Formats: sequence, structure tokens, C-alpha cells
Amino acid sequence: MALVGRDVTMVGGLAKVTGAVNYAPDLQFPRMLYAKALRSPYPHANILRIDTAKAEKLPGVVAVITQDDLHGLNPYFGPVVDDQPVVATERVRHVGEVVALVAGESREIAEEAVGLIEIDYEELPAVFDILEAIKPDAPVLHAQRKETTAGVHREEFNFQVGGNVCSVYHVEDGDIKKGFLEADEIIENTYTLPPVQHGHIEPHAATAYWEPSGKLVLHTATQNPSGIQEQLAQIFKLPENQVRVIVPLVGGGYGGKTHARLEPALALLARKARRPVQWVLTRDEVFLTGRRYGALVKIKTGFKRDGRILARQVEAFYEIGAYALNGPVNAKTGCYVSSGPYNIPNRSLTTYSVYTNLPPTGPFRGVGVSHVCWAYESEMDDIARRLNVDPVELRLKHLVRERDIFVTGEELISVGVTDCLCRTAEAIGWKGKEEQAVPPEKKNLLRGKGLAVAIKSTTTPTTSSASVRLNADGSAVLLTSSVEIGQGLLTSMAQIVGEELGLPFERVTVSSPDTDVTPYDKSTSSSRTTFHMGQAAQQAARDVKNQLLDVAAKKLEARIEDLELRDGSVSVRGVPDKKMSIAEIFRTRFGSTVGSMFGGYCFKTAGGLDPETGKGKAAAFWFFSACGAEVEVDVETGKVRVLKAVTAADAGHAIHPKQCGLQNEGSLLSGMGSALFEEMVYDNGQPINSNFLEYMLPSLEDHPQEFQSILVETPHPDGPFGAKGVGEAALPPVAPAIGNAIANALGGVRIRDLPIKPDKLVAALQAEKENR
Amino acid sequence: MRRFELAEPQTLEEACALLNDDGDAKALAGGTALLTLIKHGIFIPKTLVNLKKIGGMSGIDYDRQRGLRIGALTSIYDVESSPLVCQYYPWLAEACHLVANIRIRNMATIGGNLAHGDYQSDPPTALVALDASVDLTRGTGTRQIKLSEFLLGSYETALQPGELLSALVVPPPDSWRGTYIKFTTGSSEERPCAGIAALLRMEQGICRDLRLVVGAVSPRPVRMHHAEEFARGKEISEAVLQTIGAEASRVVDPIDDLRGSASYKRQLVGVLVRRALAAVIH
Repeated sequence: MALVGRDVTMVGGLAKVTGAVNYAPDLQFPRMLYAKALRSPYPHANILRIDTAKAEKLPGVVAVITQDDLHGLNPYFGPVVDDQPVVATERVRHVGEVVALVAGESREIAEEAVGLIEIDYEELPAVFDILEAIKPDAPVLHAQRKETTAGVHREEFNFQVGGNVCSVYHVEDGDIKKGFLEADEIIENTYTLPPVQHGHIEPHAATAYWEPSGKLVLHTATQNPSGIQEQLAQIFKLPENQVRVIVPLVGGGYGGKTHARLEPALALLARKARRPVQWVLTRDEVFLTGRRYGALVKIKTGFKRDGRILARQVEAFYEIGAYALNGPVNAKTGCYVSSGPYNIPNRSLTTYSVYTNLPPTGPFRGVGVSHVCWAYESEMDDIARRLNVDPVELRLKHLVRERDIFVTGEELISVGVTDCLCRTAEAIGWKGKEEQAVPPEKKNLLRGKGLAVAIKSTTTPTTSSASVRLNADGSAVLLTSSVEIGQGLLTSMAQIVGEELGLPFERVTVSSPDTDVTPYDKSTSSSRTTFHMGQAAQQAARDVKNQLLDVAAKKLEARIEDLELRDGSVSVRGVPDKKMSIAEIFRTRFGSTVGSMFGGYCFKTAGGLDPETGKGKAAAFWFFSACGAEVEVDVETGKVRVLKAVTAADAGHAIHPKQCGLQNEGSLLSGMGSALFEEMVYDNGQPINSNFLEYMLPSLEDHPQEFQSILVETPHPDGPFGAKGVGEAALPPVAPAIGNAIANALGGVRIRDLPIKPDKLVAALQAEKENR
Repeated sequence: MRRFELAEPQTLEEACALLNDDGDAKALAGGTALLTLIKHGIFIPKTLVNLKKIGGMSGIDYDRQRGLRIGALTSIYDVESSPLVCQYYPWLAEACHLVANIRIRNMATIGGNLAHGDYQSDPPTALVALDASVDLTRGTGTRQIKLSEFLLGSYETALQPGELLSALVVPPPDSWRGTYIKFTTGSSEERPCAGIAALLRMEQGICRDLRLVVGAVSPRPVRMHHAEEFARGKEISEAVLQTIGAEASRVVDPIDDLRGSASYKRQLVGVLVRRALAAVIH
């Protein structure tokens, strides 16, 4: 192929590295105001009184909104449950909740005005811990809940009422009791993961204004323009064409920008101010706005001495913070993969999403999968150690293969997990059983290798639409609402369209999302863009191609099947003289060499799960991945260094191998941070490390000296050119691979609570010594 | 960030007068520490006094008799990359090199680093081991005090209102051999969980003199006087290293913070001190 599978130069890369890109916080509009939020200092409190009089009198303050400005709106919103107020109503449920929003002539004025707002609170008992939150006597965050009418397919959740459990998801296979009865051995452990930050460099940022006609315009750094449009239309009771969402290049998302955050309150403020208002969060506000769920995962596995795993029971609790956001989606997505990419005859898998008075969560690269993968892949190594067998062999015995039936009852296709594991094992220099041998004593620096694999679904069913516009000069633009968030879709989508239309790469561009112009897309999340938008783009391009061939066939008096479209012209195969340029085709069709030829396609995936049984079709395609790590553990200080790492993902067919490799590398670094040190810390619901000085991401110095990305390619019949997504694929196995490497270095000493910080390792080694 | 006035004095005298007249005003040099505190609302100063317009406050001089003199506005990167520092005080260059990342070190000044009084920092530990002093000025007169007396606690220094740290003075290195070890529990760019500076003077395998300073575990860098005394006149055997490590571990008074618990740090200090000394000897 001319373009697909080639590492063409990334579009926009130079502009980014030279600082030429205007991101959402850089935008300027005439008469623009600046927003600043007054946020709750309490984790849970009733609002008794708000007095904004002094703030409103401050020169330069144009508008202030509070709960009193919500009349006539649908004041609650959310992707799954309508539980988030546009601004706090009567009650705050987490530190940092927005109680009022001020628009001022400058950021400083707005900030000063925030300090002049008087509020009386009545503090309420709060709950922060997952297990505390599910107790019957725990303070309840949401006594009443209303499922949303926008967005996700709500019928797939089992919403709970009464306590803090928001949703429960369950799926099973075989007979779990019988499985455990027949097992020779059973191991059972609990794993935990703390909240962590997405770490997108660009904070949340948006600008809103209302046109005189009553149309709302939002320029926002979102991964989800169509979703924001839908949500805002619902809140303001507008038809969707009266909400226009425009998205510039986004400076990173990782899930943190998938749902409406700033947009609802900002739109309301702009309406009151009657001027454009811009709201850019500070970093500590980002910490109060989104994060990864904390989780507690109980896992129990029964197996025979001959190495057959008979039964696995998982019960996972996801701590979703004060509002549901996509917590139920996360818990569901984690549930059916919680026994791993394995064939296990008897399984019982249950997940819960649980409200607490911690700041809100949201999707996070790997959604619920990283949590359960941390548990099941640590457990696989423990079982191998107990059985004294090679952990790779144990996995290979149970890994799902092409056309196997998964726990959801669906047939799996494009299953490259065995290749991912085997190639990763080879690349990391895996020697088999001896990797788990107990190390010689009396050494300060011990080395170990570890491996892990993962399976993940993409959100299903969903819809992506695209249109391709071909100009008479043989250049084309893809109109798409998918968002460039650094993953490189401006490049990969141009490759797909260029490949289909036989155009040189430089002749194809990809639009930025603008919901007035670009068609619907579910969202740039769930690593779905290459597969879904790629398919829509390819089919839209094919639509244009068919129109070109149709005109040419008549003119050239040839059959369509005998024509080929290449390098900007249509020719008859084998008869090079019989050809027409795109310009000639335009002249033939339109009478002149101007105009546009449009192609369009709406790609919809089928599927969905029955919430009662958990059965159905969970995924339009499945991600498979593996990670291998070699670590060095300083047993005296507990410090772990990752010396070498390998991440592998099944890309189906890599459209741009280099970009896929960068995704694998990004997955490694993100996973390494949360494996070894990243952790948001709270004191009574108040984040205490909410900046990048106290909460640090891995730096280049932490990057392993040796890194290798592996792309397995098991083409998927429904993907464009066989391609699947890779964005999140390799993240979930990173932490367990590192955890397994540490355990192998230390003769089986295992930390089950992330992150594996030095003090935990030192304490575990001491405990081990005392027990011996 | 709230609005503030930015004063830009041209001379030290003016700067000191501004700071003296307005007790709430804060001196601004590289800004890497102060601006973070302001962003978090820990300080909400009405006036910042920018020191960067004052001439003659950066630069590095070395004299065999007097030692090293570093202007307070010298960036940490300029200290670590100075041929003089690298030649005569490689441990100081190393401690500066280990601060955060290149972007921070290009902005942050050595004077600001010391005046900030952050115990989770690398240069103060190395400089206390070198028995450095600081020049404190009110514009008119200057007093010089030992850095070990200047650093009083977490964000506490001996600076009086209206006083500025104008220079850093380090005695000649004599025949010290030394090392500085930074230990982080998180990202390698993080501030230290512990920092160890060890300077050793050996004659024919016998320790003539030892300076041992433990930083970042308690509110100020602490010299291990007992351990230093114990080491003098001894051959530094494995057993002596163990004893010194154990002594340092016993003497330190660590505080809990996000980088580690007090008990972990106590244990860590023993290990790192032993390793630092072993590194100097070998």
C-alpha cells in the first residue's frame, strides 16, 4: 500500500515543538472575560446562604452565577446519571465543588471577586474509603438519582438505590462453587490502587459565547465534541443545531477530557455576562476536577496441581468520587475482563461503582481494566510460583485463542494475545521457570523479570460518521468530529483517506471538530478512533471514489471493475492511455473544474450486554497486549529501577507503526508512574499533593535504558485495512509486569497495594525476614 | 494568581529599603519556589521585589586563600557548570546538578535556594558540609554567618526583615574528597527524601577528618558530629562504616512527609551514610 503502514511525517509535529499551536487556553476573542470558580472547602456540607453582593460590586466584575441562576434549565447532567449540578445546589459533595462562577475583565479581578463571595455552610459527615462507603450507616451522597437521557446506553447498568453503591455489574460462567470444590488449591488476595492523575499538560480550558440569534458557541479542549453538544443542548433545552462545539488541537486527554466539565457552568455564565468568557483551570483545580478511580479488588482462584485453573471469583469495588460520571461504565468494562484473557471454566465476576466524598473521577486510559489486571496478573504469577511452573507456560495454557467464546458469550476474533506474550517474553530475555527462582542472599541489588498480559473491550455499540470532500484540484479534506489529542489522527486519518482515494499524503487534510460542520462521532475515547472513524473515513472516501469511477466509466467506456484510481487520475487497467484526471472528471460531471464532490458514511457497531446476565456482545473489537519488565531492586532502600521494558499490542494492522509505537511507549511511562510512585493523597477529602511538584510523573531520567515496542498484527475484518486501536492497550499490563518483576527479584515477596514505593518494599522485606 | 505590584530596584540598597518598609513584600529571584507558593495561596503578597535588575549579584570567583564566592543571583545551572566549582568542589556541582530538572536549574538561583529554607533540597546539604557562609545585607552593612546557623528550620532562616542574602562564601576545599548522594522515593526529578554529603580527609588509609551532613530528612541539614568524631584517626573498615551508619541513623530526627515516613527515613539514612562514605573511599 502507498500510505497505510508507512511512517509518514506526523502532521502538526513541527508546529507543536516550535510552540506555534494555539491551544484552547491561548484563544482570544473580542471583549472576552475570564472566569474563576469559588470552590467548596468542605467534602460534604449543606449550603445555607450565598451572598454575592460584594463580589458583584467589585469594578470589573460582569457576572456571577450560583444555584439561583439555574431556573428554566435542566440543572443536572452526567454521561450516565444526571447527578452533577451545573453549579452546586443546596449541597456540596466534595472539596473543590464549584459553588459560584465569576466573570471578570481579567483573571485577577475574577479571582479577587471570588474572595468576596460569602457562603455559610453546615458541615455534614463525609465518607472517603470504599469499604466505609458501602456500610449501611455511611453518610449517603445521593439519596435520589436520575439516569441520564443523553449519551451512553443506560439499559446496560444495574443502578442501585439507597446507599452509596451507584451500580453493580455481574457476569458468570460455569459453576463457581463446584469449581472451587474440585480445586486442589485456592489462593485469595486483595489488591488496591489509589487515585492517580491523567497528567495531560494542557489543563481543562474552554471559551463560551452566545450569538445574538440565541445560539451557544463553545471552543473547548474536549475529547468529545458531539457529547458536549448533546449534553449542553439538554441542559439549555435547545435543539442540537443551536449548540456549536469547536475543538482546537488538544494538549493531551487520556480520558480526562471525555465528559463535560467546564462547559455547562461556563455557558451559563457567558449567557448572563452576554460576552465571551474563557475559563482555564489551574493545575490544582485539575486535581479537583478529574482523576483515575481508586479500587479494591478481591480475587480468588482455584486450580489443580496439574496446572489447570478451574475457578476464579472476582469482586471489585471502584471508588468513583462524588458524582457518577462514567463510573458505572468503568465498573462494567472492568467486570467482564476481570478474570483476564483466559479460558477458565467457572467464573463469577462482580464489580461495584461506589460514591465517596472525594473529588470527581472520570475515564482514565485503560478505564476499569488496569485495576483488575493488576490483580489477575499478579495472581497468575503467584499461582505459577505455587505450582513451580513457568508463568508463561501457565498463561499459554489458558490464554484465549481465535474464535474462543468469552465469558460474555461472544466469539473473540483478532486475538493476538499469544503472540503479544511470546514476543514480549523473547524480547525481555525470559528464561522460563528459573525467572522465579529464589535469589542468592547477601546482595543489595537484585534483578528480576516479569510479564503480564491484558484484554480490554472498546465501548460498544457506538457510531462514527465522516464525510470526505474532494476538490477539483485533487485535494481532499476529511470532515470528522474526532479530536487530535496528540495521538496523531491528523496523520493516520489522512493516510486512510489518501490510500482509498489514491492521493498523495500531502493532498489530504483532516478537519478540526466543529459540530456545525463535522458529523457526529461518539467520542475520541476508548481507543476507538482508528477503528471506528477510520472505517467511516475509508467508506466516505470510497463513496467519493465510486462517484469518480462512475463518471470515468461512462466517459472512458469501460467497466468500473476495470478502472483504477491512482495519483490523482482514473485509468483503465492495462491501457495507460485511457485515463482521466480528477479535474477532467469534475468538468465532465459539473461542466467546470470547480466544485466539491462529497462522500459520507455512518459507521455503527452492533452489540451490547444484557445487564441481568452480563451476556451479549461487549466489544466491536478487543485489545490484546503484553508488557515485560526487568527491574533492579535495592533491597536496603526499597528503590526499584526499571532497567528494560517491552510493551506489545495487537494493532490489527498498524496504519502508522511509529505512532503506534509511541502509544506503547506512553503506556509504559504512564503505567510505570502508577506502579512505582504516583498517588493522589487526601486529608479529609482535601488533596494535599495537587501540583506537579508534590505529585510527580515519571521523568526522562526514569525512562528505562532499554525500551522496545512490539506491534502484533492480527487483522480485524471490520477495521479499516484490518486496523484496531492501540492507545490504551498496553497500559493495563505495565503495573503487574513490574510487580511480577519485583516479586521475582525478591523470591516472591509481593506488594499488592499500588504504588510500590520504597518504604512499602522495605517493610515487606523486613516482615518476610521476621517470618522466616 | 492575584494581582500584585512588581518593584524593580536597581540596587541592593533600594531592594532592602523596599523590603524593610513593607513587611509583606517578598523578594523574587528565579521564582521557581516563590511563584508556586503564591499560586497555592500560601503567600498572597501585595508587592514582589524583583532582584534580577540588580547588577553585580551573580558570578563565581575562586581564590586559593579565600575560597569560593558565588553571587546570590547565580543560577543553579551556572553553579553546576562552572569550571571552578567542577574543579575544586565537584560534590557541590553534583548536588546542584541533581536539583529538579534543567528548566528549573536555569531559572532558580543559588541564593534563592538557600533563602527559601526548603529542607527538601540538595545544595544546602552539600554547602553545610563545606562549612559555607552567607553574606546578609541591608544594603548598607553586611554581616556574614555560617550557613548552618542561617538555616533554622523548614522555611525558616536567620534573615531579618529588610535583609537579603547577597552572596555565598565557601572556604577553600583543602584536601577533601567527597560525595553527595540524592535519594528520591518517586520520580528522579523529585525533591530528595534524603540527601547525604560526606567529605573525608585521609592519610595513609587513616581518616584525618570527616564532615558528614544529612539533609532533607529533618527540617534542616544536620551535621553528624558524633559520627565525625568517631571516625577520626580510624581506618575506615566495613565495621567502622556500619557503626557510622548506625550512629547517623540513631541521631537523626526525621519527620514524616510525602516522600517517606520518619521510620523509613531513619533506616534509609543508615544505609545511605554507609554508602556515601564507601563511595568516597573507593
